[in-house]
Amino acid sequence: MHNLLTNKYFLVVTGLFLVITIGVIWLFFPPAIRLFNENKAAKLSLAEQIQTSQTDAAGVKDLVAAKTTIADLYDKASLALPSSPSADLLLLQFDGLTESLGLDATITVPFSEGSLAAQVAAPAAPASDEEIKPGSGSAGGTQPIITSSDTGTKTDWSLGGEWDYPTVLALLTKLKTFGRWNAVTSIDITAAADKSTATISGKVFWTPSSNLQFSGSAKELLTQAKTLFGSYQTYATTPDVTKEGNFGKSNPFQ
Amino acid sequence: MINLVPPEIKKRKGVRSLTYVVTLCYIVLTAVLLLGLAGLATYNYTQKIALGSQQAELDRLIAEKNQHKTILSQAALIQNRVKSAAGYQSAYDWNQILTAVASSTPTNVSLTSIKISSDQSKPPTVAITGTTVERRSIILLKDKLALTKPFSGTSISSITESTADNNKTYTFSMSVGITKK
Repeated sequence: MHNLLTNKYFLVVTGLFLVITIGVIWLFFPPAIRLFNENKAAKLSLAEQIQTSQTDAAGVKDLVAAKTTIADLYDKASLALPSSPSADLLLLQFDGLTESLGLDATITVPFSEGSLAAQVAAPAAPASDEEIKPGSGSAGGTQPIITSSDTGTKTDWSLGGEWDYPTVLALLTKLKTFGRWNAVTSIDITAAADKSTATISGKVFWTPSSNLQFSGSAKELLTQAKTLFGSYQTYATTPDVTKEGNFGKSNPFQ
Repeated sequence: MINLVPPEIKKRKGVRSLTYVVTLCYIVLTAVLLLGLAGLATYNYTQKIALGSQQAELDRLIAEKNQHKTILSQAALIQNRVKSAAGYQSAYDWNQILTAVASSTPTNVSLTSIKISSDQSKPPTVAITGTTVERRSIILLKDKLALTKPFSGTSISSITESTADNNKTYTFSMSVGITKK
């Protein structure tokens, strides 16, 4: 061995070998190992994503199978807590509710300024100052009172009429299962010798819905939603201009 | 047996065989290095192909999911409403409250108004007004309400006596607190 180490050719060849080997290791191995690690991580990540997507796909399959139920529940959920104040439909709902009990009611619902002109005819201007009542557009009957809409996610409403105590109880029972989620904030029943009047006031809610993502089991959702929305009562359907109404008059003033 | 090979030749032979061994080591090391590199490269290449097919599978699943975007957004809204339902439940059962007022009213008392008002800052209160021919009945109504759920903190605000045709009538007002159901 001693002789070999003193041989200059051996030392040169060994040095050359070491330089080439280290060079190869230095140049080619790190990128190859880095690529190996990157591929490994990407594979794991993709496998997880595929698994999630496969679970989602199974959920979507269940949802598609219950397409009609989902559409029905969606209508009920949108009605219960809409994404906008939806005052026009609320008015129709309250109208249907009071009609179902055979009541003549004064309904006060909030309309946003934008939808006001389009949805409800403005009440006639008062002829004199005496006719102006604070906070109301009309009094009595079935003409809706129009108030400005709340800027938050809840809006006030009120129902009033010449109702007695049992009628108020019946109305409150109906409000419990009313399709639009609501909270009664005040009840006022006044009995006089000849008549009894009552006003029920409350709030309805709405919440903006954007970027909602479905996650979880479709079957579980369907069960929960059916239980929740099954008891709610709808008193009016959303007007559909493409399917209902007769339009066109030669003289719109006649 | 006597080894007649001269020591010089013997030494040269030993050096040669050592050179062979060391050279062999270098060859083996180089082969291992190259094989390792080739193995890594091959593995990375196959992984790349596998990743490509996995990505294609994922894209297919996403595309399939996007086909049912409408139903998914409907389901998302339903899920959101189911989750938030508890927050919109009324804390008070108004039917129960009105029924409890009725069942607590003595037979010789006639109520003229019931006003229930609530706001978020404080619990609701019931303001009751009515008439009776007996002052005692007003106290009985107050005590009965105090014992009845969901009422709390009953107090009489006023009692007014009036006489017509020798008949005494008492007009009263009282206030009752309500506790959550």
